[in-house]
Amino acid sequence: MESEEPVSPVYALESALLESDRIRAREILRTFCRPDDPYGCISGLIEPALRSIGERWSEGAAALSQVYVSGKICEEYIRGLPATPAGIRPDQPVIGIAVLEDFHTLGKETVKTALNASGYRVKDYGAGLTVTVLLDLIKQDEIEVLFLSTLMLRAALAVRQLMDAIREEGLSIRVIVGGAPFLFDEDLWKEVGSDAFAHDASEAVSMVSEDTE
Amino acid sequence: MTRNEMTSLERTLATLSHKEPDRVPLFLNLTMHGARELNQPIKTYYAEARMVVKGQEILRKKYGHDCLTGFCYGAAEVEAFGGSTLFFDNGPPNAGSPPIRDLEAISSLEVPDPRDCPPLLRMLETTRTLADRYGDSVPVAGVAISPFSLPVMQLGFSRYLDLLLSDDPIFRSLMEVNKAFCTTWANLQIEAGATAVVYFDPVTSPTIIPPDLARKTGLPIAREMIRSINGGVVYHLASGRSLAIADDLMESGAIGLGVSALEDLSVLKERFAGKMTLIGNLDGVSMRRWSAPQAEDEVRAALSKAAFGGGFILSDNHGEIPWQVNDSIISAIAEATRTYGRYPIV
Repeated sequence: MESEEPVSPVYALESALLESDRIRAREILRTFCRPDDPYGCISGLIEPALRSIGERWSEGAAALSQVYVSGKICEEYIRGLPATPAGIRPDQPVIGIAVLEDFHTLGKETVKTALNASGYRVKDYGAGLTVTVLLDLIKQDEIEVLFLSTLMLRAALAVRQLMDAIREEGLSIRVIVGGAPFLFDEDLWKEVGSDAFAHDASEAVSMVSEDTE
Repeated sequence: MTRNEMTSLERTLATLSHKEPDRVPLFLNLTMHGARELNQPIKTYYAEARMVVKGQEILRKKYGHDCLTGFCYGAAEVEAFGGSTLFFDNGPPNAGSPPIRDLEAISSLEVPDPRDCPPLLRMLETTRTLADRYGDSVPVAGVAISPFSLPVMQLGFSRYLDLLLSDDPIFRSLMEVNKAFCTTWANLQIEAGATAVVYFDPVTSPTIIPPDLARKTGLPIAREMIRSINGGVVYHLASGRSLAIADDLMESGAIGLGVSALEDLSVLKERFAGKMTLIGNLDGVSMRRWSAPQAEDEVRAALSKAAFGGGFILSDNHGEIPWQVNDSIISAIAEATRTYGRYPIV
């Protein structure tokens, strides 16, 4: 029997995103978002939907591909909205993202699209970076928040070298790590000296939001 | 009553038949640790089949576990497609930049012959030597990456997902090439003497794609591949979850399943009992920081959840024990399995 309870816009968007139904998701976004208030759309609709999908993934109730596609659909919508020269999100830090040492980019892409969908601009350094190269890049771009994705345990442990170098040089960079090794060993992010660990893309976004609010 | 001591092969075959052997078989997936034993850099170690054979022999003698393998590293399969491998001194080799840059090139992609790829040839030689020397008493595992998961290294993960989700005919073209390659590669290992092939298919896991999509893509491909492989096949989701596609996995034709530490072994046992032998699920990542008593506790917990009635092989949950796991912990796991894994388990 169908429920007669009205479906909330967040729930409707989440359902459409989980089904990778781009058309329905865009309809919902067009219906409930005001083009002159993209930030309201992000904070009131997109972020809660993506957060819920991220939580589902952490619990094993959604797949990584759904998290990835959901971010992409929302990112596409946000990119189509008029933005001020400063970007949609006011007072945002300088954000960078990279994959340390290997070429598995899905985690990075998922976090990047979720950040973009939430109105953040992100400097993408790509994959296969060594600590030395990455350190030069983040210094040069004056990055304030760095997201680091790793797949292999060895790469996760290499974050320690980056953190040591950041501290040695007195840089003020918040490093947030993610990826399989950190999911399986929940103390690993502390061991390597990073500032935080994001279980999923939406948690990564919320960590920047916390910094800026 | 003490049961007669079985060989590793007898022990494994008994548990695969869902009978209780003398004790729970232990598969320590030590692909890199042989390099440490031989005091060689990992890259040098993998460069000669005779060294990997020696490494496997030393490790089995040291830990007394129940399997050997000629498998070295997954990126070798992508080398057959023109890819590269990055080597490190303290971890597994990794695939370099994805070799297929232009999706249009897939329509003219030819099926490479694994025998033309030096690292795959070395794995075959290793498998053959190990099978000749020990195949009558120890299982020798082969490994083939599924046609459905190989594109993660061929294209890069996000580009592959974009292709998979777009329902593009190019996806089907790529699968045809990969299926032909996978069948040849798996059967070459069987011909070389591998007791069974581990079909490595993380993308089909509900951790990566939704079950409905897996049922239209990865799972039918797996069934086709498992039928085409002339030997026993173990399905491995490489730490990915399995419960949401349990029925499909049980119908895949695979005799065993590598299960994740993300799922409760008791629930897995209940679901797969009598249908698929479970292989797992010690978490390799956190294993690095275990103490010896903790290793014993972890082993005992796994045994108590999944060993009864057979159909269980104790192993790590990913298919490879990280380089950073100390010998003392591996010894503690092996010792605890010998002590507490003897049937009947109380």
